[in-house]
Amino acid sequence: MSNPLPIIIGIVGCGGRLGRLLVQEVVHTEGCALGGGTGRADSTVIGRDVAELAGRAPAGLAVTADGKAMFAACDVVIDFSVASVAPLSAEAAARHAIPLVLGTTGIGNEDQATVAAAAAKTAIVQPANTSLGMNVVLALAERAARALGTDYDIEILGQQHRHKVDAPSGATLALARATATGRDVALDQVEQRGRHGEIGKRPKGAIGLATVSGGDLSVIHTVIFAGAGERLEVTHRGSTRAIYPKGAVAAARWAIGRPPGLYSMADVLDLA
Amino acid sequence: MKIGIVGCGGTMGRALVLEVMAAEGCALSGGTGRPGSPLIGRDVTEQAGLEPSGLIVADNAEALFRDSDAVIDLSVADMAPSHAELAAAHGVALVHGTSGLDSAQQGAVEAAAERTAVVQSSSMSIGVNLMLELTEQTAGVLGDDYDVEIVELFHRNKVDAPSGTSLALGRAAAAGRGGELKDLAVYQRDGEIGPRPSGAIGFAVLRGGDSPGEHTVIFAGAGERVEIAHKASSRAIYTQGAVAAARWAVGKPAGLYSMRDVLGLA
Repeated sequence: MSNPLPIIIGIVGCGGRLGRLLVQEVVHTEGCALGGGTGRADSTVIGRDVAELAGRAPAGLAVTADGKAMFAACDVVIDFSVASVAPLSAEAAARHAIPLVLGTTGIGNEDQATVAAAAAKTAIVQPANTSLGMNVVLALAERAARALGTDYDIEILGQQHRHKVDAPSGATLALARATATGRDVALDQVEQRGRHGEIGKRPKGAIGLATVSGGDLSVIHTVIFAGAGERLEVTHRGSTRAIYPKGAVAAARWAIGRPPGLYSMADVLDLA
Repeated sequence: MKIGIVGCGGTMGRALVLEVMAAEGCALSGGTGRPGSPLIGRDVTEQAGLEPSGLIVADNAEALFRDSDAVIDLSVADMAPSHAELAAAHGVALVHGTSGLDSAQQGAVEAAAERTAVVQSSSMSIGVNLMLELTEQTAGVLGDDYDVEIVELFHRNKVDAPSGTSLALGRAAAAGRGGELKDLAVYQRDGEIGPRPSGAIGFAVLRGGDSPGEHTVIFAGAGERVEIAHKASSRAIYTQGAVAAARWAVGKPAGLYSMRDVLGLA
């Protein structure tokens, strides 16, 4: 399939760890071209070449603190930066009527409402996780929770690298929501977090969330269904961060031309 | 409901005796042992650690099938054809969970299923049977870019390898990809094995200790892995499932059923 015009993709927070990988992925991907990258106004990366910063040949695009200019120049924008930027990116995408792939985790309720409002005007893909494998695990977790019922206690364990600043991880929360959906309950009614002290007996039907933090490489998420005499576990192991940019760029390409709405990776991957 | 146990003196057989005695609405109709076994002539429930029942371990299964509504066979592969034939001859429901059947033995079980209800499953647990379904689904979505490996650990006394559950998982993964396990399975790796064949389904078997069975299916892709694991901590999951299958099968039309039918997962 040949497309004469490449899709122009912009990266918010292009100087960060994931931002650089996203730039590399866009440069690698046939049919895509880099539209620019932004950084914080006080960052030392402002003015440097976006592609060179990511270890690629210079693209003639300088990292800018001016998000407006970048959104104006792009067909679609990817933001995997920090939670506080998410509502700004969502509003900018709505204003310029271009799709946004928003992979930031730890977005508060108020900011999420802003994102949802923007999604009424443009297509926003908000993946908890952009990897194919994780999205398969989400589907399996929901299916298993439905089949096994409350005789099997659900515990979700996220193991994340030491640089991650929010917990539970977005994937841990997404897995918890998937299992709650499988049981037809609201997660906030049954979730148990941060166990410490005299926690008492485990309530029937609870969904437990726990986080391990340390090291720098793989990110592991496990959903445990613990019954009498047996356990079923579904695990995702991400051994490189490269899996996330691949999915993010796939989501960006998918979002072009979609009607306004808030989409998930299950929509992108046709798992829904 | 009268339930009989063939091979009632083995580890699983004794656990089944306990399970039938504890199950409401079920009565034990008897048990058999191998001809020549020192258990022949002993009391079926006493040898399982309960009060005597007056039922004597027999070396001939004919009477057991005649006196039962359902018979559970989790014993040994070489007895499978004769037990299947007796179930068909007496119109008794058969729950068959023995692994390691060769094609002739399997043929005998399938022939019997034309005349009576047979539930055949390599594992009677709910978790394993859900795992089979999840494995097939995952293999279908992820495709050949994700290498499938199946790892098992069982107690040191298990004599066949891979386990019946591992093979069932392999068949589920192959079915999810639209292939057949016999064309894809790699059972041994030793020496200069060369690069991994594309689309292969690999098996690794571990034996030791007293584990009642652990299985993991690994889907290994570039930069990520999906794993589905089942860990049994008690043999009760098998015996409870077997008795549930026996209750389900009584009165069903002739046919070959699986635990997925019994559990409503199919």
